[in-house]
Amino acid sequence: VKDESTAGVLQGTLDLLILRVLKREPLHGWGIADRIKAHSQQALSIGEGSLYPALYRLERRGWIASSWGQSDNNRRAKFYRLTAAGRKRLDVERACWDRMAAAIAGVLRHA
Amino acid sequence: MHDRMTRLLAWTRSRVRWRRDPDADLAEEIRLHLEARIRAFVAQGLTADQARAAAHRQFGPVEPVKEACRDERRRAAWIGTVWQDLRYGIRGLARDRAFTIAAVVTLSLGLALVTSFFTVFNGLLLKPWPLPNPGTLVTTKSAVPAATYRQMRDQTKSVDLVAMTSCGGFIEDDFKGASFRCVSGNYFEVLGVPLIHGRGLRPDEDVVGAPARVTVIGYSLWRERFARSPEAIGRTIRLNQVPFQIVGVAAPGATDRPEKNLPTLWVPLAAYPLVTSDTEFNRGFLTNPEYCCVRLAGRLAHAGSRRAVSAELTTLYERLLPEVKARRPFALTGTRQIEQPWEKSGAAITGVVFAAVVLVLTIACANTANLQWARGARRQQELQIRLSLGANRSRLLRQLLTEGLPLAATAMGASLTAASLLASALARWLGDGRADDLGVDLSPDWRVAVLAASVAAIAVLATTLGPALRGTRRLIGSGRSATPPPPRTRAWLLVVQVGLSAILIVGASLLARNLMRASALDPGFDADGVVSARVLLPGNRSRETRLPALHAAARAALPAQVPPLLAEAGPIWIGRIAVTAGGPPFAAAGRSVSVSYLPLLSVPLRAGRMLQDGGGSAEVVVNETFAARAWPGKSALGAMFRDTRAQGGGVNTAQVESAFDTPRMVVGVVGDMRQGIRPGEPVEPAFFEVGSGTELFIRHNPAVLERVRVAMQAADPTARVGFEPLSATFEVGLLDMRIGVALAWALGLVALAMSCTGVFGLCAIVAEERRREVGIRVALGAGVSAIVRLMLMHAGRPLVAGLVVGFAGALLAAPFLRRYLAVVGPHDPIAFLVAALVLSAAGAMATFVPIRRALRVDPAITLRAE
Repeated sequence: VKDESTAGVLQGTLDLLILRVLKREPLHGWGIADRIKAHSQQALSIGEGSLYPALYRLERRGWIASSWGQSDNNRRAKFYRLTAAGRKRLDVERACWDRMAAAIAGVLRHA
Repeated sequence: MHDRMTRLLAWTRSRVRWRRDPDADLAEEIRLHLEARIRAFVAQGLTADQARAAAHRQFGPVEPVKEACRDERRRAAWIGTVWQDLRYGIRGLARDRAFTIAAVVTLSLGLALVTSFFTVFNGLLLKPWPLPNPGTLVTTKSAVPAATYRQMRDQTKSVDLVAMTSCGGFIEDDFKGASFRCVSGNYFEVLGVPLIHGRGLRPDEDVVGAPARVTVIGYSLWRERFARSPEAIGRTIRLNQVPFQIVGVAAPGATDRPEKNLPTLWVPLAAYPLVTSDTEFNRGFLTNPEYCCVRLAGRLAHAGSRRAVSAELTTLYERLLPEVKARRPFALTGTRQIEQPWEKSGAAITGVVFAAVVLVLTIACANTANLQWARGARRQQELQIRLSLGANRSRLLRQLLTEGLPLAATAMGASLTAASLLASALARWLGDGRADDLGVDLSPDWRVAVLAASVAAIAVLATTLGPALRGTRRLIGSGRSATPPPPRTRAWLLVVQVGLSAILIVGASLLARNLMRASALDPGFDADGVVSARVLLPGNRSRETRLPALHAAARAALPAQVPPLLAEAGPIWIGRIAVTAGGPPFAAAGRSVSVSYLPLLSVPLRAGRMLQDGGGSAEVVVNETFAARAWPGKSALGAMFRDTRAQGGGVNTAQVESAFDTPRMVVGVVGDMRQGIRPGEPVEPAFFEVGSGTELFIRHNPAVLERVRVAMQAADPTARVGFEPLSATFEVGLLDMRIGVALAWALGLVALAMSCTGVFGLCAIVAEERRREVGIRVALGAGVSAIVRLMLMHAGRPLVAGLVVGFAGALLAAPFLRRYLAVVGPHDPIAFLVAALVLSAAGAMATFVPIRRALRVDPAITLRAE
């Protein structure tokens, strides 16, 4: 039950977070999960598994691409990187998110 | 070079990697993820087991993640999935061979009937004329006099009009009749009728009064008479004994419009008086605007301007023939239609056959649905296991529906094959053994393929969807029982099947009864042993003047006796009859005959006397239908009427309004003759007057015929004489009916066979499901009758319900057949009784075998198997 509620919240935003994390550098699955957790001060603790369908979805839409490589400690890992289309998408989603956040903040402040 | 090699290798490797099994790829990725986490937890000081548990907790359940990823991937490559499902489906079908064969055969049968029907329908009605660029071709229902045609042609700019009319004739000395198409000079150029040798007719060869004696011959004539030799061009051929020069040969199947028979050859319209007999009508046909008519076709100058051209022609037509007062607007139609006789009777036949074919398809679908239900019940366990293993329902549904694709494809292939086989057989049959003699191209085209594909898809979808929806319901954990509910849907499908077959069988039985009654009907005359003489004379124009001498020679050769051996009759013409004492005018057939004509054919006299020599045309004998129509309830003897004749087939209004002939008096009433029309159909009013005849009838034995031939050829050495039995025309009418009855029975029996399989299947399933119950009952000492009752309750009930529904439906539907049931009523009790017998026999057979098997159940074995 808990999974479903967080999944609902994250459905739209998870894509945005992944794109944002990958903007800095290509990363593997658990690396992405770590980054999201670290930067949200542990507030967003996602079931790490739910990351993968999102990654597959983003890849299918051509916003990220994947390839197998070596991780820092010399282990095999599948790396995801942002594509040009993904970069554009990130800008769009970001702007969208900012507008919505501002709107919600405004309502919370003045209502 | 080396660099390029390396890059190529790298590229290949990347492709290979990309093509590796994506499931394994995902599994490895997740495994690496978990391993990395476990390492991290171990580094934090957890034990290996704790670390593993923590990593899994943090990751969440693995299988749903994999499933979700798979779904994402499938959305990307659904074609690949379809392919996979397809292979899976084919494997499943191959395993379930009994089901596959039954389903494919049933569906193919139903579909083949629909496709074949549509192929013929398409060939006859939907395909345009077999001419180049048919989109700009137009035709018209109104025919115009030849003189009017020439004026219309010269005064319109928006359409190139061509005219054509047909006349029968004889080629060289051949007694087999041929069809001559007399066409305007621009015909070949405008329509583009395809030729394989020589040229078409030219406008300068179609000059009224000075026609060129040239002809374009049809392909079959070229093959038969000239053995496909190109030398035929320039040769001379006698048409009705008039020499014509061959200038061209038409391509096989060439015609101006699809008809049952192709024209044997084409001559200029201006040559019409040359190839027809020398009557006043034929002489004036080309110039007298009161003599009707030639048919028109044309090619539009601009495609799509049909309505404007129609309006222009209507105006012109009304101006040129003001007295006609446009009974019908001069409408142009496209060329996707067939001649009028087809349109009228064809539409109704098409409707009835179509309804029957759709019924059979419905039965086939019901049968297939039943098979699918049975298969679904068997697969219930497999599906439930897959569902509880996390397969999502829509995915399973998609797979089950995809499995129907090979079924649909096979059925479609089979039906298209059947349709093209049937089409070529039909073409051969209609074209007298040679497919290329038929003007209609019956071969299946893209329209047929589209229809077959859509019907196959719909049928398979309709029969698969229900069982698939039911089969993929999540039963485990839903509190519902995992066993399928009792086969109520199947029973309902069975009711539908049995009901529909009952309707078809009743229809077939009604038609058969009608045929039996009709062929047993007295035709009203005795055609046995009567032949009609055919006389060919060189120089057609003098035919009328030379025939009497020949007939006289024939008469002289045969002794006058009672009953007579020889009679003469003129052509049948249709006149409008006005009874002088009042009543609305009606149409009747009139014929001038020799006084021996009615006695020769043994037509019975009902009242008054037969015709006598010297009575002239003022004295007539009418048939019973005429008498009843003109003077209902009164004696016709001594009554008077007037008539007017319309010639050339069509009725020209101007002519109809002209003066009526001298009054005629009825001296006798004879029985109705059903010659030349279908037995059972209403008889036309007819009357006979004494006059000269162009046809010679002889009640023969071989010696008599030979004597007549010798006498006639002695009288005119250039004449050639042949004989044809009179009954031949009568047989043609019955043949149509026989084909109709055969078709109806074929459809009905196919439907019945399918329904029987359905009943049989249901009985077998019930027997299987109740095996244990039957075993226990037998063990407890239940008698045979109890077991039979149990079985009948399950399988017999839908059977009886189906029969009741079917017979009720048949009672309601039978009046639609009335058109084809001239001699029996639509609710003929004997026909219904026969149908009931056939159906109950079939039902008994379908239930007997499974019941017998159920009775053989050995309780010991059954209970041990539990």
